[in-house]
Amino acid sequence: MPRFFFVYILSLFFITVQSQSTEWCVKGRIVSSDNNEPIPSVHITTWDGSRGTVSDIDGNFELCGLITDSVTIIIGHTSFENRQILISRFNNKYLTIKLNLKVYGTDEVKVKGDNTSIVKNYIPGKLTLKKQDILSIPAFMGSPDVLRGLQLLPGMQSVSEGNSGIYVRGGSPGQNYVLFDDIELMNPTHLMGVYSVFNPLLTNRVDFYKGNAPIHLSSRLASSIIVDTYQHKPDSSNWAGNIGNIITNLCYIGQSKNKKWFFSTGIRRSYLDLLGYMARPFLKDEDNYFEQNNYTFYDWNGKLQYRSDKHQLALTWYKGRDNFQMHNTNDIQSHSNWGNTGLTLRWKFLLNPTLNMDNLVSYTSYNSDFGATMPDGNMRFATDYEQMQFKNRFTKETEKHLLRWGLELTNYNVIPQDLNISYLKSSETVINTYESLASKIYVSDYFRLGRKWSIYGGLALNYYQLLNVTGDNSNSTDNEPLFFPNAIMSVNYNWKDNTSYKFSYAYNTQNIHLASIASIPLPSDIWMPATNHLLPENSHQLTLGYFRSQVEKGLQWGVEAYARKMDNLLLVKLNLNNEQIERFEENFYKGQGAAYGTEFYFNKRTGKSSVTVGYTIGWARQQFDAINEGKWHDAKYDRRHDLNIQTNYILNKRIDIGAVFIYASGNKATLPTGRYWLMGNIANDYTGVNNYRMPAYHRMDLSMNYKLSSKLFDESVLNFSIINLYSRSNPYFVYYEIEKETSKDYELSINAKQVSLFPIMPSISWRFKF
Amino acid sequence: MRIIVVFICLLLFSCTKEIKIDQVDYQTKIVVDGWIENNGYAHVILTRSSPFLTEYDSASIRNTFLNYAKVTLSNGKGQSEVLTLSRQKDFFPPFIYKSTDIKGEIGETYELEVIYQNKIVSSVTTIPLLPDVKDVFSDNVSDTSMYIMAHIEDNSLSENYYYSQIFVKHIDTRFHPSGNPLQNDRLFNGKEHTFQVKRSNQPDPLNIHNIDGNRPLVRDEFAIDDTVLVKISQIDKEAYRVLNGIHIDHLNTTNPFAFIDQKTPTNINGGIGRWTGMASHTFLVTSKKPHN
Repeated sequence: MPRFFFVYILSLFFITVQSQSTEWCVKGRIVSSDNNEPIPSVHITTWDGSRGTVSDIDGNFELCGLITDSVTIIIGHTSFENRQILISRFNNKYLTIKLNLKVYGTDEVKVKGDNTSIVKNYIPGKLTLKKQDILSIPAFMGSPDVLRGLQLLPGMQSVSEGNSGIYVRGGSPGQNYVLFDDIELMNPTHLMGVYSVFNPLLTNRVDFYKGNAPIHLSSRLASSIIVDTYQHKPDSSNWAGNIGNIITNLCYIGQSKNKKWFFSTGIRRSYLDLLGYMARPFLKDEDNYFEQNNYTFYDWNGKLQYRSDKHQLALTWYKGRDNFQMHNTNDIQSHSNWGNTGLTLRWKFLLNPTLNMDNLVSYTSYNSDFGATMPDGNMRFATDYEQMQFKNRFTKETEKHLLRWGLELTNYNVIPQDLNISYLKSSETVINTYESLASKIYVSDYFRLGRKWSIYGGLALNYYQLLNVTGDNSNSTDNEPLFFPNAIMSVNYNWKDNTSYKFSYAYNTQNIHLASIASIPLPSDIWMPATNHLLPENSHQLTLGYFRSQVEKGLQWGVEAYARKMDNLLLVKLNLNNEQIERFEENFYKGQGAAYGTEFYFNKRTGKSSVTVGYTIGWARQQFDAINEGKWHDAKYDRRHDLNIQTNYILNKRIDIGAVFIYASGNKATLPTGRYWLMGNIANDYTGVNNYRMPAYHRMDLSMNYKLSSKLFDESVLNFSIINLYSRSNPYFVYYEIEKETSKDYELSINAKQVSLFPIMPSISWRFKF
Repeated sequence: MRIIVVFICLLLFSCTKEIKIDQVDYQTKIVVDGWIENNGYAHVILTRSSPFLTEYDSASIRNTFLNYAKVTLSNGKGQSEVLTLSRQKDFFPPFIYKSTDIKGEIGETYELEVIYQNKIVSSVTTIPLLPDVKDVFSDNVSDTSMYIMAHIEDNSLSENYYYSQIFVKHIDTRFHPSGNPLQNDRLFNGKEHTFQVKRSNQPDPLNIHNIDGNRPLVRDEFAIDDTVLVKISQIDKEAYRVLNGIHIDHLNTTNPFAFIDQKTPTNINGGIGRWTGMASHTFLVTSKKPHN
């Protein structure tokens, strides 16, 4: 033993002497475990900090000047979990180090889509969707859609045809904050809600927060929907596309050889109008539906990005428009068009390994224009919304904390309603414009207490002031500055490794209202800035959840209960009697709302198949002094049950199939309960708003992807989809029709009629990459 | 408002079918359809409302009439009169309560009280000032059709509400509202104003007005050989609110964009319907130029 000891000491001495004489290096490459993409700007240091380096744009690094024969290197990055690796001089190979993403749920930190995310994710009510999830859902008329993917998740209502709104946990469509590549979009749908504006082929990831987003992503009461496109080239293809029945989509992704420059762009256009031209030789103009009703939409988005070791500069843009023209035989012509435009410049700067700064300047506009020419005269109705925003944010990471603080400045220019009706001789019509300024400062911290507890807390202070108002008695509008806070707290208790309890409280505010004109959302719904008479909307939300995963069984499931109380909600009071009003704000009803319910989520994955079930039982109530005698009543979009079942099965290398089933209780509608004779006609007697629940909605969709083998294309997939397999007539709206029986005098037949939008709709589309 | 009527955008793939709906509980109400005009007697038709989804045939229509009510009219001068039920020749309305003593006077207030089986409903209306109608004239649009225009001078001292009715002789059997029958003076207060009096194809399920909805004419034009009685009335604010509400509800029943604050417009306390005082001028209009 002493001899052995002696040899050992000697050898150590010998090695030390030798190593003092020659320094050595560790070389390697750092990639993300998620997608094997290289990670630049990773800090690699020795344990004692005496030596260090940073990975380059390709993730390569070289750490030299090592003396001891074995070193522990620490690999650190704000977005990834730290790793420590012991390396010996004698076993020094080229390293490929995979880093796991941190589960912070922030926009620069990606959520890992593995089975444990639902448990480890510290924000309750957050769900993430990836491109593959979107492409595996049955495509509507041959075009996959991001929003349809989100609607299959518990918490968001699963039905939206003919209804351009997104409803999350009993919130109204104007209570969702939608960020597409850092561009805020005010109306994220096309074709009255049939499609969303996000290009599915460029979408990398969607983060969906149900009312308790981190403070820097929270700007509305009900949800934050953060959609990001690629930042790196995901594979070797440059071009991708999808040819569907009514939309064609073409995308390009390119990257410079040194990977510093990245460019992506995608354009989609519908061609319903082309069907009209094609039908021209065969149909008379009056029979040609597509000639009389012309609907087109397009969108174009893109990103240009430059990256160096410490800087990242990105320019992103979006432009989209819907255009609808109707020529009716009854001398009625109308048009409706609306669209979003946005541009953002973002500069990210890594100040030091644990601190980065993010700066954004962005411009967003939304406008809608509705016009009609009728025998009664012409009318035009337009809304216009513009915002300029500057954001500055710092992210600091220490061993146990993730700190974030920042400042946001927003300038709004809104014309809520530009109304022009010829028969009212509208020379005196005044346009009301509002210019306002909002600023927000915030600070948040995410920290761990031991192995089991993690806590997130965020606090913001908002300042809001109307700067300039013109229009109806604008001088009577007070413009005192308003101050209000935002706060959020989430606690995650990992009881066991695979089980967690989550609790969250959020106090959210929004300084812009979306006021509905009618009982279903329309593109011309009015964006109205808060004023001293229409105070910012606010809500308190409580969430409690239990989540569990059983990795060995490929199982994860969770239950989450939520309750939200909302104040200062707005609805448009149509001035039907054309009365004189003192100030523009009198065109609105003010009220409050409440939403509560429970969501269930279940997911099972095996190698070839997956099943996801989402179920929500929920209530959405509202109270407006002028409606239903001021009593609390169901909101229009109250749905008691909402069930989604989604399955996918990989049959073989070429074929995968998917099915979706949706069941949702009908939402509420207003129908008269009585009728009476007045002035020789039948009049309706209403006993309440939202007094009738529409028939339930259900449908089943199927899809099959068939991968074609091709030398030309990297990917060539035929998608066969059937929407509404059993052609259920789902209610869009219900009305009563009174018809005179021609055979008998004074006999009237009274029927309830239901209008449905989509019968069974099969489609074929082709998706490709090259 | 018409935005909503015309905003029927996405019926691209739509289909309509009949469905069964259960009638919700409904308490029938007393319905007053009453009016009083300057130099005219008060007219009141009393019916009962019905649950929406019940059958309507000639028997049930007649059953909705209230024949045993006590209807009292009183004016601001303290006069009052119990209205007399008179039987009509027409199928509808079979009975009308009329005043025989009190006639409508300009600027007077009229209160109506109906007592029926221990229930009391009441309403108040006024006959405002006569509208200052300068002219109602025709304007030929083509060889076969004409517009009718009305030229008024609005009183700048008050808020004024106008109601126009038409009666096409030899076709219609009585006055009925014109197309777009109601307007207020918000945009022409104190000014001269010319507006079109439009023909209307309003539904006439009981053939009371005998409106011919299938005339080969552009909707708001008249035939060049029509003889049209045009009645331009001023009504008070409350009457305007009620009539306008009823008019808009008629236009709006078969579209999905129902109003968020839908309710039954009425100025009857304890019941529904309307009690309207009207200060009216009536004009006879024919085509100005002889047509060839």
